Amino acid sequence: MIKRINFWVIFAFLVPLLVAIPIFTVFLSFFDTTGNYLDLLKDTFLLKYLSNSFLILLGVLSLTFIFGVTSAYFVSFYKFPGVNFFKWALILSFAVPAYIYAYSLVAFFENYGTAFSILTFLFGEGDYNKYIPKFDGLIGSMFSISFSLFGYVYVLTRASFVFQSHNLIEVGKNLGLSSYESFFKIILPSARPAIVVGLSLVAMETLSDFGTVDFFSISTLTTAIYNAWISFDDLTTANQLSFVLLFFILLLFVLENLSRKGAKYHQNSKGNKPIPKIQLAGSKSIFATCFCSILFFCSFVFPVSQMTYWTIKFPKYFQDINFWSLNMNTLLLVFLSSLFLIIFSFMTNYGNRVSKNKLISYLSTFSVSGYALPGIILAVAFITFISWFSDFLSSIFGLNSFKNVFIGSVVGLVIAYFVRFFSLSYNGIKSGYSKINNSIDENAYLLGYSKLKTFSTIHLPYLKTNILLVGVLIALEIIKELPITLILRPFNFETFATKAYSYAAQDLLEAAAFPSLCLIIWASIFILFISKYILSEK
Amino acid sequence: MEKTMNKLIRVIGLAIVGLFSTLLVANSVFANEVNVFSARHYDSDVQLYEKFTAKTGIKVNVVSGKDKALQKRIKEEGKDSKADIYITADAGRLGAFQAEGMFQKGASSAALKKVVPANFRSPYWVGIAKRARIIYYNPKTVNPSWNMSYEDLADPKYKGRVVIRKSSNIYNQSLVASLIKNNGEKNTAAWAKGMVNNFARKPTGNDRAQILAVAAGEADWAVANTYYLALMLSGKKGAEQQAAAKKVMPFFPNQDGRGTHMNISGGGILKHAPNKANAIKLLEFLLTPEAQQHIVNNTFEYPMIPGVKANKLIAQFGLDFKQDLKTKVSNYGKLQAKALKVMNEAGW
Amino acid sequence: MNPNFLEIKNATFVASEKNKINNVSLTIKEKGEIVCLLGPSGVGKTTILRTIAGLQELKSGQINLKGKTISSENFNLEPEKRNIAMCFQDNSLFPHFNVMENINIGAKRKNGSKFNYSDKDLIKILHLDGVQEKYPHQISSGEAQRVSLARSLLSRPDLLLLDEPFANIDTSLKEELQKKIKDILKEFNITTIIVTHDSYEAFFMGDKCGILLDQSLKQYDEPYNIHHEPNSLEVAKFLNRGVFVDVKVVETDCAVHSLNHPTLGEIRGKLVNNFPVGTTVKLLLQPEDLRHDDQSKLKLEVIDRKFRGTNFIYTLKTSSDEKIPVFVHSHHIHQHEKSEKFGIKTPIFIDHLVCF
Repeated sequence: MIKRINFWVIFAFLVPLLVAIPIFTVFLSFFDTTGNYLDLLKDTFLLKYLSNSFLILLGVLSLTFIFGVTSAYFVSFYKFPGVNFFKWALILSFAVPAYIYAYSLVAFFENYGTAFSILTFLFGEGDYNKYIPKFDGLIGSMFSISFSLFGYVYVLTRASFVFQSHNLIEVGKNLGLSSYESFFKIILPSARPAIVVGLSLVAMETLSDFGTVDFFSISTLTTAIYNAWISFDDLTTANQLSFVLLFFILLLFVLENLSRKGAKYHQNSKGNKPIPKIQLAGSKSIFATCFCSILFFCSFVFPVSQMTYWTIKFPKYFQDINFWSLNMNTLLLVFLSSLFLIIFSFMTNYGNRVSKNKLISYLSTFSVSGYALPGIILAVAFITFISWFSDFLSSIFGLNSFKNVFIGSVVGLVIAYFVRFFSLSYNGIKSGYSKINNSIDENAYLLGYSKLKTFSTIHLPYLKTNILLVGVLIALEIIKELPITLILRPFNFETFATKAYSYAAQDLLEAAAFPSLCLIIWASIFILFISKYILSEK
Repeated sequence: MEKTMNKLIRVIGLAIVGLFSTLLVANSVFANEVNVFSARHYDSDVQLYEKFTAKTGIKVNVVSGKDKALQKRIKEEGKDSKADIYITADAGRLGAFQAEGMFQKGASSAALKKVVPANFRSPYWVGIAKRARIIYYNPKTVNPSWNMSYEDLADPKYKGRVVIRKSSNIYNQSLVASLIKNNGEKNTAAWAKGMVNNFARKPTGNDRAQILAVAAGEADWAVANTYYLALMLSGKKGAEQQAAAKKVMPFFPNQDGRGTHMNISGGGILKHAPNKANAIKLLEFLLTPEAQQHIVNNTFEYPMIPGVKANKLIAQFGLDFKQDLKTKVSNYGKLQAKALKVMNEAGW
Repeated sequence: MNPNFLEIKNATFVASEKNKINNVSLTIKEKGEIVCLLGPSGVGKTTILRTIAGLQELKSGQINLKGKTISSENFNLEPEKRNIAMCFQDNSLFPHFNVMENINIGAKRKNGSKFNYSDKDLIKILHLDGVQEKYPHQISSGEAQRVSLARSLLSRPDLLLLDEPFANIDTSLKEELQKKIKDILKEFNITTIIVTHDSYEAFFMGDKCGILLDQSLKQYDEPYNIHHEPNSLEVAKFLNRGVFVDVKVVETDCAVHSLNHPTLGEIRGKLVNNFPVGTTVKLLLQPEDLRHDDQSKLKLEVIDRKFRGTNFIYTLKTSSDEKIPVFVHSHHIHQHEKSEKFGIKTPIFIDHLVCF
C-alpha cells in the first residue's frame, strides 16, 4: 500500500493529528498531580455545578427550539407583514455574543439601570425598582445564550423547510389534517434532522460557554474545570470533570451524526422550486408578525440599543479607544485564521477523499471535537502543551526554547483558533464536498487532470460559495472569541472582544459599550454579506 | 484554471509572509522595556504606564487578563517567560502566587520600604493601592451603632435584610479569611450560616449591585468595597446611579476592635523577570506621589503612601477610620481555601 | 513484431466481495477496433471499464496498452496518465460548468490522438444545439449522456470506454446516434470498448463482442459468430429468443447434417458442434428458424399469439409439450386463433444447428 502514500494523504493525516494534540493534552497532562479540590467539590458543589450546567442546557435548548422552529415555520410557509424583512433580520442575532447580551441584560434590568431611566424619563421621578423584574444569573444566562444562539436552529430548520419538495401544508390539507395537526405530524418530523443538528450545535456552544456564566458568576461544569485546573492545580478533578463534559458532548456528537445521516433522505435531489407561501390573514397574521418582531427586537435591537445608548450617553469612553488598532487587530486575526483554516480543511478533506483511509477519517472526526472543548480550557491546554514540548525538545536536543514564538504571539493565537474552529471549517467544506459525486473526480482524472489540477479546476470553483460561507462563519466566531484571545495574545494587543471584556471587568459596562457595538457591527456586516447564501431558496 | 492555483499559491505565500512579519514585530526586542501581566484592567493604569515611559524612556508592554489564567501562563512559560511584573487586585492572590515561588525578592526596594506600611508589603510584592471592604446601609430604615462589626451582620435580627455577592468572589474570600484568622474556623462557620440566613436574596451581581439593592430598598445592609460607591457618586455610571448612591451610607465596621478589613492591589517581580531593574523602577514609580494621585483619582482606591490625599469622593466618607493593620494580608492567601469551604458549607 | 493495441491477460476484476470476474483474457489487435462487452446487469461490466481506466486496482493479471503495462497486480498507472476516456452511465458532468464548458474541459489534454471534429461539429452531430449554455441540472438525462460522449471524444483518447452510452436515449434517436458515433469512431480510428446489456446494440456497434456471464468472459468473437455459433448453453440462453428442444443426431457424415425430432420430424442443416450419431442433444430453435405453411401436413396447436408490429410471434405446442416460437410476417393474409392448428413448412432446414 506504500504507493498510496502521497502528499495529500500525509496532509489528511497530519492536520487532524496536530489539531487533536491539545485535546490529548487535556487528558494526558492530568495523570500526575492530585489535589484536594475534589473533596471540597464533592461535599458542596459538584452536584450544583452539574445541575447548573444541566439546567442552563435544558433552558437554552427549550428556548432556542421554540424561538428557532417557530420563526422558521412562519417565515418558510406563510406570507405576513414583514416576512421578507424577518427572513434575514433574524439571523442578525448571530452578531451578538452571549456575553455582550448578558451585559445588556444586566444593565437594563438592574436597580437604577436603563429600565429605571426610561421609566423616570416617561413618568417622572418614582420608585420603579420594585416593578422592574429581577432575575438571577441562571435565568439571565439562559436568555443571553438562547438569544445569541437560536439562529442556528432558525437557519437550519428554515433550510430544511424550504428544500422540501412539496408544500407540506398543502399535503397535510390534502390528507385532511388541520394546520395544527400537520405541523406536529408532518412539518416538525420532516425537519427533525435539521432541528437536531441545530440544537446540538447550540448545546455544544452552551456547554463550552465561559464568558456569560462567568459574568453572572454561575458555576457550571466549565467553570468547575477551570477552577479545578487553574485555581487549585487539581488535575485529577479537572480530568474527571472534563470527562463528564466530554461525555455530554460526545453524546451530542453521536446524536448529531445520526441525524445528519437521516438528513440525506430528506434532501430533494433536483430542481427545487420555491414552494408557494400561504397568505396569513387576521389575527394569525398579527400573531406571526408580533412573534417575529419580538424575537428580532429581543435578540438584536435590544442589545444594540443598549450599547448605542451608552455610547452616546458616555461619549468620554469613546475617546479612550484606539479604534484603528482594534479594527486592524481584529481583522488581522480574522484574515489569517480563516485563510489557514480554509486552506488546511480543504487539503484535509481532499486527502480524505482521495485516500479513503478509515484511520484518517476517524482521526479527522476525532479532531473536530476541538470545537466542543471550551475555549478557555483549550487555551490553557495549548500553553501547557507548548511549554512541555519546548522543554522536552530543549532537554533532548538542546534546542532553544520556542515558547515565545507560540505563547503570546499572533502565531499562537492563530494556531489556537485553528484548533478550536477546525471542526467548523472542516465540516463546512466537507458538506460541500459531499455534494460532489466521486465520479466527477474520476471523470476529471480520465480527462487527463492530475489530482492537483482536479482540485484547482473542479473542486475550488465548485465550492466557492462554501468557502465564502465557511470563511464568514470563522470570521464571526473569531470576532466574538474571548477566552483564547485573552490568555494567548501578545503584549499591548487588544481586540474588540478583549477591550469590551476588560471594561466589563472593571465594572464599566458603559465603556464596554463602544467596543461591543463595533464588534456587533463588524459581525453584522459579515452576516449580511453571506445572508443571501444562507437564505438561498434555490 | 491554472490562474486559480497561482492565485492560491500567491495568497498562501502572502499570508505566511504576513504571519512572520507580525511575529517579528510582536517579538522584536525593545532594548529598554518592562513587561507587565496585569489582572487589573484599569485604563488609568495604562495612562500611568505611558507617563512612566515618557519619564524614563522605558517602554511598558501589557497583557491583561483573568487572574488565574495569567498566572498559569507565567508558570508554564517558566524561565522563558518575558513577564517582569505581575499586578493583581487582592493580597490573597499575591500571597498564593508567592507561595508557589513565582516571585523573586526585590519588589520592596529600600525606597519603597520607607513609604509603604509593613503590613502591605513583603520582600516579594508590594501594595500599590488600598481598598476597604465595608458595610453600606440605608439611613432611612436602619442606623448602625458606632461599633458595629462584620460579625454583627450575622445577627438574626437582620434576617432577610443583608446582601453580599457570591462566595466565588475573591474579595469575600479574603474577608472571610481574615475572620477565620481572627475568630477561628468554627466561629466563622457559624457566622457564615448566620449571614446566609440573613440574605435578602440569592447572592447575585457585583459589589455595585449590592449597593444598588440597598438604594432600591431590597435590603438594609450590603457589604462591598469602598471604591464602588465613589464610582457611582462620580457620575461615571450616569445620573440615576449617582442619585441612588446618595441614598446609601457607607459604614466602617469593627472600629472598637481590630479595625476595618483592608485589602490591596499590588505587584511583584516575577522569578524569571528579564528586566528586573526596570521592573523595580516601575514599581517605585507607581508609588511616587504623582502616580498615587493619578490612581486614587481614577480608581477611587486609598493611597498607599503618606502625603497623598484620597479622592474627595472617598475622603468624604472619612479618612480617620481604624484600619485593620493587625491581620497580616498574607493570611488572605493562606486561608483562602478554608474560607471558600466555610462559605460553601453554609450554602453561600 | 507490432504489439497488440490492448491486451488483457488473465485479469481478475473485483467489483465487490461477492462479485468478481475471473481470469479474463482479451486482445484488441489493431487500433480503431470497437469491442462490445455484453452481459446482464450486475455482472461487473462497469468494473471492467473502471479497472481499465485505472479507477480501480487489478486483483491479478495484467493490462497492457500499446505495449506498456498500465495495470497489474502491483502496479497501477494513475488514471490521468493513461489517456483513456470513459463515459459514465450516470454521465457525471461537472455541475458548475455549462454544457459547452463541459465539452471543452477535456480538449486541452496533451498528446491526444488525432481528431478533427470541433466542439461545434459534435454539438450538431449529437443534436445538442440549443443547450450549449445550459447547466447540467437543466438538461435531460439523454442530453447529458450525449454531452458526456462529446466531452470524451474531444479529449482525443487512445482508448474510449463507453458505459451503456445509449441507455437513456430515446429509441427514435438511438439508432441514428449509434450509426453516427460508429462512423466517427471509425473515421478517426478510435479504439473503443462499449459495455451494454442490449445485444442489438452490441452486434451493431462492435467489431467484436464479449459475452460476460457468471463471473467470466464466456465468449469473445465477431458478432455474427456469437449469434450463430454460441459456444455454450449459457451464452445461447442469454442471447436467444428461442427454445431448446431435444433431438436425436441421425446423420453427421455428409455435407448436410440431419437431426430428428419426435414431432417436427427431420431437421437438416450444419451442426456447429460435432456429436456422435445416436446421441440426444438440445437444439436451439429460434423464431425465424421455422416457416409457416398453411399447406403443410405438419400441424401444431397454437397456444399463444403476440402482435409485434412487423410480425406475429406464434407459440406452438409439440406433442412432447415443448413451446416453440415462430415468426409470421404481419402482412400474412389470415391469422390463426388459439387452439387452431398451424402448419409448418417441411422439410425443416436450419443453416446453423446450435446444439449442446
